[in-house]
Amino acid sequence: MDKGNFKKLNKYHVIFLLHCSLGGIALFTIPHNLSHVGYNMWMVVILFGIVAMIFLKPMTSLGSKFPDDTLYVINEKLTGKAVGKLLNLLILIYSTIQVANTSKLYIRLVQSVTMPDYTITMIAITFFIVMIAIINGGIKSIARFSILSFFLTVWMGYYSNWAFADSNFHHLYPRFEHSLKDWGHAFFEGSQIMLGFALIMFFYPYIINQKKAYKHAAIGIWLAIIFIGLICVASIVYFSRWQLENLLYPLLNLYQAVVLSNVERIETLGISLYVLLVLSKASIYLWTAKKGVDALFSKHKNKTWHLYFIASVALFIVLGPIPIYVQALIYDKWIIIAGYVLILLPIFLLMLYKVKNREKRNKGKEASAS
Amino acid sequence: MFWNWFKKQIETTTESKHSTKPKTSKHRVTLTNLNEQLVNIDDLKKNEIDINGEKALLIYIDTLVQGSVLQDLVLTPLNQVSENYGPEEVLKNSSKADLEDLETLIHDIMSGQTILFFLQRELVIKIDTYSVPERSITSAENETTVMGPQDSLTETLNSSLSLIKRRIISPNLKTKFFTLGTETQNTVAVLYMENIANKENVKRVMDRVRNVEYQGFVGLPIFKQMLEDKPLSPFPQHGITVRSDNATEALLDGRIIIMLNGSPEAAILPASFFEMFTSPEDFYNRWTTATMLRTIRLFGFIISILLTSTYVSVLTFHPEMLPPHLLIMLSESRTQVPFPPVLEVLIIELVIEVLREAGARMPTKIGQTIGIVGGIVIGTAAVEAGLASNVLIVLVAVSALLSFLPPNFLMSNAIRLVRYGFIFAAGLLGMYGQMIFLAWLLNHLLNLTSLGSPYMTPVIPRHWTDTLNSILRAPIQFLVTRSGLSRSKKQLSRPLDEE
Repeated sequence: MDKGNFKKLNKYHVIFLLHCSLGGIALFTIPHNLSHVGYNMWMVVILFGIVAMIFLKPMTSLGSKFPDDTLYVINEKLTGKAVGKLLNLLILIYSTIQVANTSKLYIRLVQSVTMPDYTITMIAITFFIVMIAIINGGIKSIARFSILSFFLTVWMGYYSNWAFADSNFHHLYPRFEHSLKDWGHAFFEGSQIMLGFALIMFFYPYIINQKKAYKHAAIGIWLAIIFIGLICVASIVYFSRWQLENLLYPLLNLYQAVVLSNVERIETLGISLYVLLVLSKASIYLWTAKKGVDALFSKHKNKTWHLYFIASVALFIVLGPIPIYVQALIYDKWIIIAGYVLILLPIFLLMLYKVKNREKRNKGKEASAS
Repeated sequence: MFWNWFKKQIETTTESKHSTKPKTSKHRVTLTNLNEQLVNIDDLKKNEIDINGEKALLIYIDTLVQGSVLQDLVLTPLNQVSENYGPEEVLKNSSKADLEDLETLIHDIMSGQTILFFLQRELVIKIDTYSVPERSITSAENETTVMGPQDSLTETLNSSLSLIKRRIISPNLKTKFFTLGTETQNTVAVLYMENIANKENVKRVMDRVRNVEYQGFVGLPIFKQMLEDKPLSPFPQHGITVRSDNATEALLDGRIIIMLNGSPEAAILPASFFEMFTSPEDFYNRWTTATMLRTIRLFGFIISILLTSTYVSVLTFHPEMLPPHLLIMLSESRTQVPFPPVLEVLIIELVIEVLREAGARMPTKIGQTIGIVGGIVIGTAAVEAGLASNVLIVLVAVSALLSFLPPNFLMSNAIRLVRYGFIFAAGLLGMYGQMIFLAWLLNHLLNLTSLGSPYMTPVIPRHWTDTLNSILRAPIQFLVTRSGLSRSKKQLSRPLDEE
């Protein structure tokens, strides 16, 4: 586990941490989530990239003002102990629910597609055990795992070949027949795939070359956007509009287009292998949540049992008896709103930092004048 | 909490950081003291001789000193003792013993020196007469190559050191000796190139070697385990070789070599996971062939750990993944089998394991017979009896063959063990189980270090040039830098043309 704040993340770590913090299980559903704008969905994906780039800037600016502090510490420094702790609690809740959300979506998918006769209990428990093992090695361990998981899964992109072979590229022409409301809907429902980049505010103090953090983070974001875009493009050219609107997991149907002589139902392999990417994303969120528990209960000091505690809470949320309508409300709405609040938070904190600095300067001037 | 305690125990017993060895008090050398210490050693000889009219005791261990050597180095020269030439002058390879240090004298006797104990004056002379039969230098049986040097290290440290020193003729090749093992008093040699090896690595190795406390080492593989960063891991974290060319190559790359007297291996520190799949012959081959062979070894490893577990997961959870003709063929082959796939695989894997172990422990000729009997007779009989499907026999055999592809024997063993993890995971959770176990395995490998360097280099590269000598073996002309793993002082292994 991370001891101290020493710098340990090189440029490759930053790139792949950002890459894996985007995407996740939402890759399976993204064409469906963006189906409000029909075949224009590829533009929304590019828009995600642009929005992420815009909001990334205040995050790295804030990080440069506090190079050795995570967002949890910055909150307390700028907003005071009480408000800071309240903000930290909200972030802790948000990241814990994100862990549960990411894990649950994946676990449900595995269960329903590959093992429909079994319950999700064992799948969830093994998933969390491995996740804890990854986080036990600290943020560098997560980053290394992210790098490896990317390279071990990227070859699955080859299977989009079959979709492209049987496609209609005219679907890709930009059409603006949808209302602004449709675009808003698509943007909101799909943004789960983009919100993960905010996690940079938590591992920023561990980055070795903080001056180039923005550049490396941007590479990571666009790498992820390219892959999300590839899936969307494959879906656009392969599926009809009706299919996009009604298929819950279009990526699975893309896999079903694959024809091999020795293997069928390649999506079983795809979903199983995808655990590497989902583990990467969920681990970054769980690590963030664990840091939140450290911030709230042990004055930012590292305690290993915090990890077990917060992982147990997330596991309980996954397995616990929560009514479906509550789950829908939390996972489909609140969590996205909370995600937007998190990416707006550094702007507010930067303003607060400026105001405080100005006050300090004025006080200094008054003191020197008197 | 228990886990942390357990890990702490392991660390303290293996590394014994900051430990200080107990200091023994010295005793005076007298005949009475010597007789008290050297009791019940039947091969200890005490012969009273007369040297130019002076009485002396000749003390030596008969099994460590050959008669001819004793005659040539001690008895014949002693005949020349006269009033002008004392025993110190005529005895070559001799030195006066410290009469205040009984323990050292006893150690010298036990390590094959002959003691001349003068009874009428306070004089004890030690003569180096250690002479035991030694194995001659032969070719490496466990790491054979078609091309390149064939000589392999031997159990005699001096002989093994000579094999390396005749290849590197440079004062930069440093050798440090340590005496380890409270009972065995083994000599350990640490070799490194001073101008190439990373100073921090050298210091770390020296510290670890110095602080090892154990009663005795009968082989380097035991000693090596005490120097590893994560002793609980099933994977070997240091390289091991019996080939002198391999050890020399490692030294020139900035690695550190450890050798133990009495063991024909050399440990290479640090080492990476991918190096376990490389052979010295890769450099004797053309780069294309070497790359192909390395790829086969690595993919062999992946297939070996996943093949039988995939059989389990597909037949137990995902039969829909198989095309109809393949599914029918598999189903037909399993019609008689009364066990679930996971049990069937475990039984056959265990049978193979037992055959392998039995074959390895038996004399060569019987071992071969066991292999044939096991492989053909038991395999065929098991299929005919309906205990296993014939497809599984093929898969297990292929998997067993593939596990022997890595040139490193310890890695082969690790693969065999890891495979069971995959089989259990597949039996429990199908393909997801295999992948979640793979995730655990990858995380474990990613967190392993060898002498502080990442074990998964070049997946976690220290230098991008490391990839040129990984799965890919680039042409020699392209390999201008030393591996990042060794954190070598001088990065260029040979000057570029323009320099």
